[in-house]
Amino acid sequence: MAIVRGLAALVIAAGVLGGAVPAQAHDHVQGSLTIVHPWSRATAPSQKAGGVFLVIQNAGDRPDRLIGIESDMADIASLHASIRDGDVVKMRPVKGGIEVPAKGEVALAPGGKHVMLIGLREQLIKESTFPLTLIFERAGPIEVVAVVESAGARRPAAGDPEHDHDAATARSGK
Amino acid sequence: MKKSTRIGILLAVLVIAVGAGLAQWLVIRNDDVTKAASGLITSVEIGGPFALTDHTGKQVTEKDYLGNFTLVFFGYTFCPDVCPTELGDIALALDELGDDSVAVTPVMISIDPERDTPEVLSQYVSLFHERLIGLTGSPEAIKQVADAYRIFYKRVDDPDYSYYLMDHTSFVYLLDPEGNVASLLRYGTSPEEMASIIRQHMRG
Repeated sequence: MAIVRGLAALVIAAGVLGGAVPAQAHDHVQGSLTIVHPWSRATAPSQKAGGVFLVIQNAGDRPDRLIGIESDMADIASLHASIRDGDVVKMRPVKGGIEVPAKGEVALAPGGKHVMLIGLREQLIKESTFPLTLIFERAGPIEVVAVVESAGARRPAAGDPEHDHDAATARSGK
Repeated sequence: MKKSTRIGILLAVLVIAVGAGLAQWLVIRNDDVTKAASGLITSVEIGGPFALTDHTGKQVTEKDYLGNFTLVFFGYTFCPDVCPTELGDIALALDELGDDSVAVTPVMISIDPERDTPEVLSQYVSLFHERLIGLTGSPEAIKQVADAYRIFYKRVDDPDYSYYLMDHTSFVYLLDPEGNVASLLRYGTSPEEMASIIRQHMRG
């Protein structure tokens, strides 16, 4: 765990010192839970809401539950879900948290469940990072670092380079 | 047959007739949109004139965008999930079109004019595409254009907090250079599909 903390600190340090981190996947492990590559999207200064997306893997024999989020980045950090009702899209708070099945995983991804940051205190700038804490019923708090991707990113750049806007642009620019 | 039975039968027939008529009407309305979506007909009554303000503060109407294809999306900036996804997809579709993308103007019309002032929109639109245009207006002007494009939107307050969210129809319309709806791209249409549909219409 100390190593993971160290790694997280390194990622944060890189973000602070360099103003940017290289786009590579980063995971946070605590007990049987692994938080895979938390990421967010760049916002405009005028934009007061943002989303955070990630995957939670549970290697353990018992289910756990994500019950809360803490972040200094916003006035409120909560769990929301985008719901599609015919052609109408709605966003609603997730009541009772998000279950992570034993020997399974749950994805917080665009168009589905996500962490919503409401009343952003800082603009989210592409390629910067920020910390947030996920609170689990059994595992307790897990501090993670989210990487800010482009505003319209559908998935993290490190996760799927074939379909990434910036990666594609970078390739064609070579 | 008793009189009351006859009236009963008459009423039942009437209810069925009204029901069938309503169902028919709904089917027709649904059909309009479906046909527009597949590009079979372009003269359905979707869309029309509007008078709004763009993200630079300029007063604009639908006439300002004639001569080019237009992709119109209805959304709002306080939307951290669906709207950025859709706008990101529009930007990718334009990338996919390469040099032909100059013939397409991407436009987002805000269904949250209370928060989305031209200033707010101007900071937002450039995050997605250098040519993305943000439009807003008075609540009445937004209602008029949303109705014309059959966009449903509703403010949803959270009793626990001081913020609010919007439920809204997530359609992207492709308008041809004459301003008619050429195609309806539903939420979830991939950037590749969008680009391919736009190309089809460019070829005529």
